Amino acid sequence: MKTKCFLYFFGGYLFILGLAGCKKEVQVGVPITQLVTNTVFSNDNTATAAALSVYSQMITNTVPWNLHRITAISSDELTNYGKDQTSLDLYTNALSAQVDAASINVWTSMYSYVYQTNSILENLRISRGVSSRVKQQLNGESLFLRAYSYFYLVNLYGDVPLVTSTDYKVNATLPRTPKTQVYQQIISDLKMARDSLSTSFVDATDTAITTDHIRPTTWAATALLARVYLYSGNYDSAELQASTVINNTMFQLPTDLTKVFLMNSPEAIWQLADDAYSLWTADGANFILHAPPSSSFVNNATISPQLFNAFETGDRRKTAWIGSYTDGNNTWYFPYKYKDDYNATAINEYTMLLRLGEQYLIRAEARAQQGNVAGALADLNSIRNRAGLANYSGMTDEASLLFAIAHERQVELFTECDRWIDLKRTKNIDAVMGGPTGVCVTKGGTWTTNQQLYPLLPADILNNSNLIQNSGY
Amino acid sequence: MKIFYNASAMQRASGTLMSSLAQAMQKFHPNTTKTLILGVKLAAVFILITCLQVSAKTTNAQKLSISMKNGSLEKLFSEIEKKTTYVFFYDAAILKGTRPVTVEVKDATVEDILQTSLKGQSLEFSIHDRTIFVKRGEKSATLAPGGPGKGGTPSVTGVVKSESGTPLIGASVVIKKLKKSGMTNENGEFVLRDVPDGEYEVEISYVGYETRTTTVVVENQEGRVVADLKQFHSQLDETVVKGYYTTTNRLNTGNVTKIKGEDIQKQPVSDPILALEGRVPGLDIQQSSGIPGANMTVRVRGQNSIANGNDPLYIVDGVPFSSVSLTNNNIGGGAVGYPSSYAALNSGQSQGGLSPFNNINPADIESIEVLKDADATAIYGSRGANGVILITTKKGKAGDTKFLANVYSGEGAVTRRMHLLNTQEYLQVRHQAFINDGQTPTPDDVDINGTWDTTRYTDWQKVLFGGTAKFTNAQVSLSGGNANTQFILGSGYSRQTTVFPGNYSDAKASVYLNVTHASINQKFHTTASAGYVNDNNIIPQADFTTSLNLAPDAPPLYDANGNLNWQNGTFSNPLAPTFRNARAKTNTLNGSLNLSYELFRGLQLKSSFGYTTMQMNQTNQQFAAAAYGPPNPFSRKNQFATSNFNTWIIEPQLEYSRKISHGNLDVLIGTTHQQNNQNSIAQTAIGFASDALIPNVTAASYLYASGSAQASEYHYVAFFGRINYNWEEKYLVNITARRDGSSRFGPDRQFGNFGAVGAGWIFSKEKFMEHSVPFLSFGKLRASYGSTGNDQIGDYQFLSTYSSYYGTSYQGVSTLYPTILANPHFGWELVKKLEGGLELGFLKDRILFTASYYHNRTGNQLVGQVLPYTTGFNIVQANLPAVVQNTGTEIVLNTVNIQTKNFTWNTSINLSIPRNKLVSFPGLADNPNYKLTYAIGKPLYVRPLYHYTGLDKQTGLYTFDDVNHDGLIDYRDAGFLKQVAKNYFGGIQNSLSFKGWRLDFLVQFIKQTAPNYLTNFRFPGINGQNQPVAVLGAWQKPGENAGIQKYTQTGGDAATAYGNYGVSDASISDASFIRLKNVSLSYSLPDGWQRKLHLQSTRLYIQAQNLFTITSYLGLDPETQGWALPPLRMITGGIQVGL
Repeated sequence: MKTKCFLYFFGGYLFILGLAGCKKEVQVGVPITQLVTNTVFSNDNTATAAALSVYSQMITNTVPWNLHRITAISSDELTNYGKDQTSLDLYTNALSAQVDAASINVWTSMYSYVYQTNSILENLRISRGVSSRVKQQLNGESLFLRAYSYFYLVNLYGDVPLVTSTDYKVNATLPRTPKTQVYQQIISDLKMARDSLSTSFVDATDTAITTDHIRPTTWAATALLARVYLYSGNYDSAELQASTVINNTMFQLPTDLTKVFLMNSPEAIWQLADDAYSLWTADGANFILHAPPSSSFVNNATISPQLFNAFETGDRRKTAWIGSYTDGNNTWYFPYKYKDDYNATAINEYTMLLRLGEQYLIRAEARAQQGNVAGALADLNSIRNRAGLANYSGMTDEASLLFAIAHERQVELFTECDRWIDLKRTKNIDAVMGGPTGVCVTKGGTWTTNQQLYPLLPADILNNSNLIQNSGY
Repeated sequence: MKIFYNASAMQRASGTLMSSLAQAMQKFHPNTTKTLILGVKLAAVFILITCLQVSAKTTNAQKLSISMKNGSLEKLFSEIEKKTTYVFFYDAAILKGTRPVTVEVKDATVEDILQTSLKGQSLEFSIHDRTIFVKRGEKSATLAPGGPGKGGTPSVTGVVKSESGTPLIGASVVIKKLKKSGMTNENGEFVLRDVPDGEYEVEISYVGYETRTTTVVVENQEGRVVADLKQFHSQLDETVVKGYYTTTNRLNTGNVTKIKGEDIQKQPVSDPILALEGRVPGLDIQQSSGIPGANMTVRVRGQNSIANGNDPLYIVDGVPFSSVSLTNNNIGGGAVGYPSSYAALNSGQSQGGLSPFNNINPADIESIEVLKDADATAIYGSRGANGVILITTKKGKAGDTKFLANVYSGEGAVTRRMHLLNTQEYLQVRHQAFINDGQTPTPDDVDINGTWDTTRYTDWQKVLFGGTAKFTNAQVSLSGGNANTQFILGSGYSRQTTVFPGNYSDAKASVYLNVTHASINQKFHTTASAGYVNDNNIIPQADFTTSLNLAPDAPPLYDANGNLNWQNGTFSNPLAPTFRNARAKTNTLNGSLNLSYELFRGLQLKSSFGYTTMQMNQTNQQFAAAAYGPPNPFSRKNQFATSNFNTWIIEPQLEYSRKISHGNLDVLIGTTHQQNNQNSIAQTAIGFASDALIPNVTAASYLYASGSAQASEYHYVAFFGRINYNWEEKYLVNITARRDGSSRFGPDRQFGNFGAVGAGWIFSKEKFMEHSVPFLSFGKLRASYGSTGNDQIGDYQFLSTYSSYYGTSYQGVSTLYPTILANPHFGWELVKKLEGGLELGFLKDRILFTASYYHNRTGNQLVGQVLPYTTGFNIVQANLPAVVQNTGTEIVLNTVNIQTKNFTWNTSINLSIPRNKLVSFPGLADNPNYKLTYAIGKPLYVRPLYHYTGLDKQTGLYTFDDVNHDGLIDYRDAGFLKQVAKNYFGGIQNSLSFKGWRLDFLVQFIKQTAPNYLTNFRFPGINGQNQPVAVLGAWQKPGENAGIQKYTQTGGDAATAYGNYGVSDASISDASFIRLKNVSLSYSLPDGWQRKLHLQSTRLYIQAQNLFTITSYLGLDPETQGWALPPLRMITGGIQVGL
């Protein structure tokens, strides 16, 4: 009798465990300190948190500031005092793939954003829990961010692998895609983004309207599209897109130059809010000098003589957007578009990524290219007048007009990552940088034309045999 | 009728807690006792069952009436159960073939009824309390009701016990002359009937004991034999635990080393793993620090895994015990550091944090078995790759209730200090440095510019770690039981202070209980044990040892007011850590229950249940006085953390054994169900208004999380089995297999199969050997081959997950980013182990020799596949076909040098010669994580080093081989020139005993290379840092032929050259040592005295650890290396008293 009881007990127990001892038993619940991807895209809030993360990362990776700084040092905008090898190599246009490619964090950051936007796009496609309105906004933002990332990748590195999925097995062996094809992707992404994004600025609910200009809208996609069309020589489209933005009364050119870069300024088409814990922008903290320029990686650059001397007499931008520090003997000039640094007591500024001023200059250039002199002049003068300058009075043949617009871009958009790319896209880079009196020589280097593209990360070339380094590295 | 129940020790001690509890239960539920017993037996949870039968000595004869015609015995028994409070206990099989019975009684006793009904049924019964045991009667032997010799038949009775007084159950008793044989019952008693008067030789034998022949004289039809059997002394017959089963050294087909608890308890250490040092071939233990509770690195047969865990699997009484330190890796454990990540460990760092094994009381350990080869470890499947360490706790022994108290106390100190410069020499070096640099001292050079008193001299090593550590250890235990039930209840307390200035200690209190019970018919067995340890560790937040290089003319430690002296901010006071302490309180509960029931002859159903929980609360406090200057809210800090780890495990098993032909077949199958949960969180509180408020976290002005909280879950399920066949103890085959499922792998890769075959041939049993080599008492050849896995990677790595992006927020939303690139397709690392062994015994096993050779290859390495950043990440967890090979030879020699009645001398020598090699690593040259760390064809223990090429006589600088001739010395010039590893290691243990005296000593030896002082000291001449005397006699002017490069006090070429010197082949040098690891001398009081004093097992002893070390190591200690506190020399004296 007892034996039977034992048998029943143990038998039953073995049976139960035997049944359970299958696959199910080795499945764990999801980690409570992390979220499984499916869960993230199962509701509006976490899906938004994943999409917003890219903006947080752009701030912590100091990507906008780094773009502003390195391209300004490579070109003729800033004088470098940094003693680290990468700063020196950037300044003398003598980059080396081994030494410098990794410390220029643009490549790794941008491809990380590309992965994340691809992941968001893929997951939103299969998600059921995210509401369609939010899905539409996040889809638009991801497409926009992917286009934004590729825009800087092609402009800094040339042909780059076009990654549009999260499958690492495919992506790890992708060769470079021709620049024109990358542009096609950017344009198609931006068009879709434009149609998908909200027409007003939204808050973290993705639907409610806010005064913060820190999320991309349909206007941000349009503005970037205008730029992309211009850069790819599609002038009528560029004009059309720029006009759409300029005609939108949401955006205005503030007459007070010191108000252009304030948070939610009417000129801001898209800004980035810095981390809630910091009251300043990376541009402000890292450009503003309270001491002579240091040899460290930050606060080590001043306005170059080329840029300083490019301002016309009476240009208010020279005083409004350029600061100076004097130690008694020497005076150093630094970019001062952003006024707040570590001394800030409240948040006053956001980092500007797209602004109306550029749209005027885009349209001016697009119109000039199409022979619309009056239109071009009107746009050019809008910018000049705001800076306290008289209407453009020079020659109005196409070359002169384009030259004037390029000059206006130099003094309006300095340290916003435009000059370096402008020199390249207008094919003026060799003329400006090279030659015995070129900028590169004045910086202590020797210009080679291959330096207009930055080197790819050598590790990536090692780990992807289909990837070829830019020539000269 | 007489109940043949012998009053045992347990009953005499019936006042003990348990039996009174049992009685109380009976009183409380007099009518439900039957149900209770049934319930208890069935659920088999309460160990108290064991006491029930002990409690009642007399049986109140319950009278009853029964009327039954030709009923089965089964029916009769249930009838009796219905009418009385008795319950029957028997194996249903024995009732098969019994006659039906007719019972017609009124007011008869149960005994009478049974006696009548069982007559001639070849069944017998016994009544214990209210349980009636029915079993097969032995025809020729065993006691029958009526008692021995009383029935008029001539008989021999007797009792067989072990030396320690335990009755031996089932011992065979044979009178050859009469061809009569019998077996002992549960009390060790036997009866041989029909023995005519006369004198006879009686042979008594029992497995594991020496057979004994004695003479019995039968007179008046009665003879009596009292026999004590000696346990076999040959180590070959010692039981060896191999996880789910046991074997003996003789029949073992695998490689297992057993360390007995008594050898562990001879060592004054608080961490049982430390007691294994030098004793186990193939086991490499390296203490990270001499701070009490500090962790250590343990490797069984080398490093198998390139990037993942290399810790062995630890099992305490069947329950896996985590080797991961509970110390929080966000705030660290102060002077014992941060628990290292797998990757950091594999790059040569020592294992930091507090040791989890510090939470096991060494006094509770019965034995530790180290399982090494495939035969021994494959039954652990995916967790057995790095070897298995089984810790078995003590069980009670049958016999009189025994109270044992053991107390020892002693002192410890650091034995080795570095020879550093005195003030005069130091100043000379500094001045010369200024001359060499062509500079003069600046206001910062406070050590020589007059700011400090340059006539002062302090031996900082003496001040900082020259103190005396006190060690006190007290253990008490109560044990006893009868043949069926044994228990041990132990409790201990130990406290060890440090050699540091300040009030630090590691205190440990523990309670341990084990109860073992077997039913009278020996079919049901249960063992339950529970251990609880509370450890309270208080250490400084920095190891004082790291300040040993303070300038010898540094100012006094205290100012005139008795406060820490900061010499106006010019002196970083080394006693600052006394105001920054790290406290960790750990509670550990370890419980296990084993049940087994013999269903049929040879078939056992077993199950084990285990639960372990560990919880650590840490608080790292910093008081205002720890920093220079007036206190401010941020100079007071409290970092605190809570970590929890728990495991439960259930392992049901079926075991079958029977004799087939000339051999024994053992079959085992079972399943494992295990779950681990762990979590930890750390927070930091700053901004306290006063020191007194620091423990009160709510008084802080800022409180924030330190790092991210961690929580994870691990599920594990397995099926395992073993088939063993042993033909005449001559040919042995052991096949083990396991199918494992682990939650650490993706859905398609969770399950894996592992297995091993072991075979042995005891050739000394062959006839031709017995004749031709008579001095060879034992000879065995064994071999094994099999596979095991390693799943020591983090949990959830296969999952695609998002984490909080470093606590940042955007638009007020805490954002999420993808943590890893998910790869659900990776699986375990696989180790294929091959081993061959030769075991020889000479001169009746007085000399035992074992040589083993192993060849292990770990493939499928989880090193991660490196990816281009265009994928968004640069690595994805993946198996690569990289192969790491560990080979080695292990030799053990045990000899009984002298064995006389009063004097014995035993020696045991072990030697391990391990070799390690990275056989292949596809893509190593392109792998950014490993290309500078490893080289194919070299051991994993290599380091990239510059080749030192001597001193340049002209510049006075060290020079190095510029391999690529680019004029620079950089990472491209580094080669894998030397390894940091052990060439061979081992130990020599001697045990001598003379009458009551016993002396044991262990000499540990290690031949190895290690980083020397150059790794820690910066260039000689640098401001405020003392140097070893080795830097004296440096180069001063061109042309000079000096061994030491010119001093400098600033950066520049000389500093760079010295920095390169520190990572050149000159920085790795011999660190071999011979250490008198343990000495234990004890004196047992003569038995006569003890009896008079009513004492037993009483002895006095002296025990010492790390008594002295012989080494030429250029540094502090060759084991801990670097600037870590060396292992302490601990000398203790103690007394053990038994009642």
